[in-house]
Order: sequence, then structure tokens, then C-alpha cells
Amino acid sequence: MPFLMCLRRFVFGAAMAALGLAGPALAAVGVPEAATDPMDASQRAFGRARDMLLQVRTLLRGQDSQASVGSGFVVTDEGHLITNYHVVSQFALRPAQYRLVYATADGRQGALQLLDVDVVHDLALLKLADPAALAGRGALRFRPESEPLLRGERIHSLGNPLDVGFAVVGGAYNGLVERSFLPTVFFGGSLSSGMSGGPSLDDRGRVIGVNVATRRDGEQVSFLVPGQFAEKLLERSRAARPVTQPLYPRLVEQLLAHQDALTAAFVALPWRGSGHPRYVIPVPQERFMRCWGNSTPSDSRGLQFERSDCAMDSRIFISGSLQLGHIAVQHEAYDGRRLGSVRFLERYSRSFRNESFGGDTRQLTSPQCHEQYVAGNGVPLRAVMCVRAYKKLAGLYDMSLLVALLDGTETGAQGRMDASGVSFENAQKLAAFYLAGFGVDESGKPAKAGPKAPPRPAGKASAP
Amino acid sequence: MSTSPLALLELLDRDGRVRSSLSVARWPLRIGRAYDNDQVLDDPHVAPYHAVLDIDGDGRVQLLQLPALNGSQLGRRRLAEGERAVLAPGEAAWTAGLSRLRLRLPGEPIEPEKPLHRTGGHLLTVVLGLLLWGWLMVDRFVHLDPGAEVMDWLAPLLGIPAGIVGWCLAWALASKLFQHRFDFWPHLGVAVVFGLAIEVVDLLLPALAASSGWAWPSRIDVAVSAALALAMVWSHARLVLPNLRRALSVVAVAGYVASAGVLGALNLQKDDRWFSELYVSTLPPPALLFAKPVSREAFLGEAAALRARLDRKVREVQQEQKATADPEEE
Repeated sequence: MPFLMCLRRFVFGAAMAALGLAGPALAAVGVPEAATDPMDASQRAFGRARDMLLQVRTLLRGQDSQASVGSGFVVTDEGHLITNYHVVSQFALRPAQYRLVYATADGRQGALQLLDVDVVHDLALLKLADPAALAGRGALRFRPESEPLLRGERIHSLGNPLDVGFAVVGGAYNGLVERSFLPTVFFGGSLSSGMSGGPSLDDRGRVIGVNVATRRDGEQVSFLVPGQFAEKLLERSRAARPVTQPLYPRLVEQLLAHQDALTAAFVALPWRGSGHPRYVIPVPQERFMRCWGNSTPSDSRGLQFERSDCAMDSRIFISGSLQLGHIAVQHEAYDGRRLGSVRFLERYSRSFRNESFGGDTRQLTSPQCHEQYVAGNGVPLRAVMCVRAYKKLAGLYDMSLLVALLDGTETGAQGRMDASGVSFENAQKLAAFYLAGFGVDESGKPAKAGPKAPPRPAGKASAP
Repeated sequence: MSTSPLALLELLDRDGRVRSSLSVARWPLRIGRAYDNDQVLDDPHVAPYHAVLDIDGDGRVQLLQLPALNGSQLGRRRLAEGERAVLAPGEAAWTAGLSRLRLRLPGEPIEPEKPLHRTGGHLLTVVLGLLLWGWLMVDRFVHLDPGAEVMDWLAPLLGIPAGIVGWCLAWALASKLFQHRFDFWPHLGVAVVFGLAIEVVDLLLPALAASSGWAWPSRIDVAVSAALALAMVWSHARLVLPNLRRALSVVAVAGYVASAGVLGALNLQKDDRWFSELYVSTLPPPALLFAKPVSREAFLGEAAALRARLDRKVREVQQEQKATADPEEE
């Protein structure tokens, strides 16, 4: 599915990844807000939380130079603190090479221990190596789930942007991000690198979320991890022993659970129709995916096609060079009646050839493929399933499935599904679900939305 | 009175052609740089009286090396002063200094007469050439969208014949250099035959793969095309250097086997498979699809075999990493 890549695609990524601050410093833009009341609220929030706010630094063990910086906040009197997983990912994956330290607003420093992570929600639980060092400063409390925020409510994000100094950024709570599989708070404010892992507080200084990411192609479009996940992580692991070995097995455990849930949710939604007059092509519901479409201009002399490109926006951050845990589905429907069969078949094959599956990398093996002609619903399909395995996250795979409808000599359709970071069983489950979505509609009427239900467990309908 | 000569002594040039020849009427016969030899050699690396050819008691011709700095080379054997060597019929060629000499003796077999390249062959070459040209134009037609500009056609229309002719002219010049013949037509014959063969293979192998569902014809396509291209160059080279036929064959076969082996081994090491092609991408029209589609369950059941291969690879990588990791890590 070659010719064009969708223009408006964006990548969400853990865009805030606690960066080494090598980039140009931002120009000073400290314009005070007009309304005085929110300013007071921000001032109060910052004043109260200041003592519980820390900068979290990952240092290279040998030379003590900063590998990354982020923010964090104290949540218990025993010195537990919460930050993002991506702030401490280098330590989590290579604890022998790095160490973690904190710095307070008043210049105090000390060592940190990593207790546990929630890689799916990008959270980490740390503890002061010497809790006595900051004893008596208090801890931030979470806002209870029973008191949901209203859209437009004022919230205050704290952290140390770009290693410039501790700061508070005001903004609005805008509900949860739409079409996101993982619940994520849409924060209408500006987060910058280095604020990752800092708390976002309500007017009463209670934690409602953890700063995690921002969109670089927008203005004031930032994201928070809902506080409940941080609270759960704290409850689960507050007594855990400090991490001394690479956390890969723990990550795999969490990622396996996540992909199980994601796969189950994905195959539970029936495909919606592509609107093609003849072909039944699986297009996912936009519950937690976003679809873009385009087509060739009508005056084109060559191959006509319409395409759709659906993908989950978010990825799970593992390390600077590895993000995974998403599903993408795309298709192109071709009309070669202006070309004639010979020319059409040449382009149809060329389009099928023009696919890439990646090669051998540090993270993944090179792909292994299985190809075969498969009986679709009323039409033969060419199916190519390529799988790569994660080298360090053993048990997780990337699966790609290419499908071409072999229906005519002048029209056709090809689709591709990609699932990254899934178990082999779920890769097969997704592949089976996708293959079952292809067919032809002999009635000649445009396919209705959602005509192809996913395979249901047999016998359910006949139960009394 | 003319009697049949005892032998014919030939002086060869660097291309192996006869520069001059001497009918031998009596033995012995002396060879050297001095003017009073029977065969005078104008070669600074030859002694004034370099060697003598004489007949021994059994009637065989012998080469006797006289005192000389450089001696003579007979096959692999080097003759020093005072040494003798028998010159057998059919093998009586040697080097004195830089001069190549050959003695033709009675009873030697004579190679049959070789035919000239006749014009009938040209006609076939022309027909095949037109066929190749037409084939490539059809290929161009398939790749162009309908309503293409004249300019889009001009390049292949003129470029293809110009390319083929240019290629053959270059080889013909090489023939001229080594064989003193401008062998354009034989080279053109080689180029169009192999050009057509490569085109046919590139069409048929993927088509066979697509229609049968077997992967192997598509996998070997590149290797077969490369073999044909190499055979084409070998055929050209053979026309240019007919004397080196055996050496050329050995180089071609050894080169092919070695590069195919290296590429295959690299693929195997990097991607865990011999061939670089990941999957068959040629899609057949329904009428030419002879393979029977399998059920989805069968497809996925077979695909499950991928897991064992991938997991084996991951285990290998992890063991390798464990072996090379810093002692601090893990």
C-alpha cells in the first residue's frame, strides 16, 4: 500500500521523555495571567506542594553526569515518591550503569531507590534511600475518585521544566482524551520536558494526575496519567524491595497483561464496513483508534484507489528507542478499469511488494513470514503473516498481516494489520479476526456498516 | 628439387599468431640472436647462440640449451645450460627469452577448418533482437499509465537499441584488440539471446510462484537471473579470448558459487533464511490461480511454526549477550 503516506499523521509517543536538555533553551515567556483568582490558587498550590516536589535525576554511575532529569513528588511520610517510568527507564533497564538521586527546591540532594513501575501507565514508585532526610515535610494526597473533576476546572501542574527551576503551570481539566485505550487526562496547559513525573493538583492541593506528555504539533495540549493509577501502584508496592536487577521480566509481565486486555477489547468490537460496493474490508471502530482516509484525484489517469489508515495514537514507552503496544489497520481499495488488466495486475503486485517489516535491530529479530492462499468469504486471499520477536522482552512479538483480495483482473483491495508487543497467541487471535473480516458482497449493494460480526463463541445463541 | 620439409619452425607474436616460419630442411638447427643462426631472434633476452634443435638416435627432435642467461621455458619446465628436452608432436612450443617458438612436426593432427560467421546467422540475430526490443517496449507499456506523453516512449524506443548496440560495440572493440576481428554480430547474438532469456525467466518464475503457491520459483528468481547475466558476460569474454576458455569458465563458476555462498550465508546469519526475498509479492489473476486456498485455521496453524524459529533466535541472542555482557550488567 504504497503510494502515499497519510499526511496528517502524528505520533503521540512519550513526547515528554525526560530529555537530556541539550536543546535550545526557551525564551522567557512568563506572562502573568489576567485573572487574579487563579493566580492565587496557583500560588497556594505551589506553596503547599513545594516541599513535596523533587527533581529526579538519573546519573551515569561512573562519572555522575546527568543522563536524564524529570520531576517527582512525595506521597507518604515514609518517603515514597511517584514519577514517570520514562524518567527512570534507564535505571530500570540497566541498574548497574545508572543511579537515581533527587534534588529539592531548597537545594538538598540524596539517593533514591526504585521500588516498582507501572510501565503501561508510565509510572514509577521510588523511595528515598534515607527517609529521615526529608522527614516532617509531609506528603501530597490524592483526590479521591469519588470527587470527579468537572471540565474546565482549574488545575496546576508542578515540575522542573528544562532543568530551569521549579515551576507551576496553570491550565484546565478537559476530561479524558477521546479514543484512547488507556485513560489519559487531557490537560489544557503547557508541559515541558523535565516536568515529567511532576504532580498536577486541584485547587485544594490534591493530586489529580501525573504529568506525562505533551503534543508538540499543538498548543497547550498536554496529558496526565490519572492519579488513581499512581495510587494503585503505591498501594501495591509500597513495601517492595529496591530494584537491583534489570526490570525486563517485570515489564513483560505488565505488558502481557495489557496486551491481553487490548486484544480482548479489540476483537470484541465488530468491524465496520469500508463502504466499498463489492468488497467487504475490515475497518476498525474508532473507539480507541483514529482513522484517516484519502483517495486519488478523480482526474488521475492511472490506478484509482481509496485508502484508510487507522491507528492507535499512543505507544507504551519502554526506552528511548523502543515504544510498543499498539494496533494499526489500513487498507487500499483499487480500481484499475482505466488501466486494463495487464497494467492493473502489474500495479497490484507492485503495491503488494511495497511493504516493509523492518529488519534485525537491537530490540527485535528480523521478521519470519508465513504465506499462503487463504479462503476468504467468497474470495481467495493472499495472506502473508510476518512476525518479529522482542529480544529482551521475551514472549512479546510484533505481528504484521498482509492480505490481498484475488477477485478480479481490474479491481482489488489490500489490507495490512500491525500489532506491536503482543503475545504469539494474541497475534494469531488478531490475525484470525482480521482475516475473517475480508470477503465479497455478491448482492452488489454497498456494504452496510458493521456487516461482519467477529466470530462468536459457538452455541451461545442456542442456549435457552 | 622440392622435398617435403622435415619440420616447420614458427615464431609467434603476442597473440599467438605466426609472425614468421622457417621450413626445416636439415638437422641440427641453431637458434639465437647472432646473424649466422638458422633462426635469428631479435630479442635482447636471448643469447647470441641460444639453443640447438637436433634429432636423437630414436628420431625424436630434441631441444638443447646452450649457455644463456635466461634459458628456455618448455611448459612448466625450465631448461638450464646443457639440458635437453624432447619436443613431442603437438606439444612442441617453448619460449626463449621473450620469444615464443613452435615446431610443427610430421604426423601432427591438424584442427578441422572453422566455418566463417555466415549471414544466415545475422538474420536470426536480427529477429531475436527485434523480439527483445518489442518485449521491452511491451514492458514499458505496462509500466506507463494510459495517455503517456511521446517523451515517455522516446527514451525506451531509442534507448533500448542504442544500449544493446553500444554494449555489443564495446565487446566488438575488445575482440578487435585481442582477435583483430571486429566481431559485432557474434556479440550481438550473445546479447540478445541472453537478454531474452533473462526477460523470460523474470516473467515465468514469479508467475509460476504466483499461480502454484510455491515460494521457491520466486525465491530463486534473482539467483537465476544473475547466473544468466554472468553466463552472458562469460560468452562475450569467450569470443574475445577463445584461448582462455577453460580459465574463464573456472573463474565464472567459482565467482558465482563464492558470491552466492557468501550472500546466502550473510542472509542466514542476519535474517535466518537463505534468500533475501521475504515473501512472494506477485499476485495472480483469478483465472491463473491454480493453488487451492487453505482455510483460515489451517493458515494460522501453519503460521504457528514461526514461533519456534523466533524463540530459538531470541535464545541465541540472549546467550550471546550473556557471554559478552559486562560483568556488572545482570
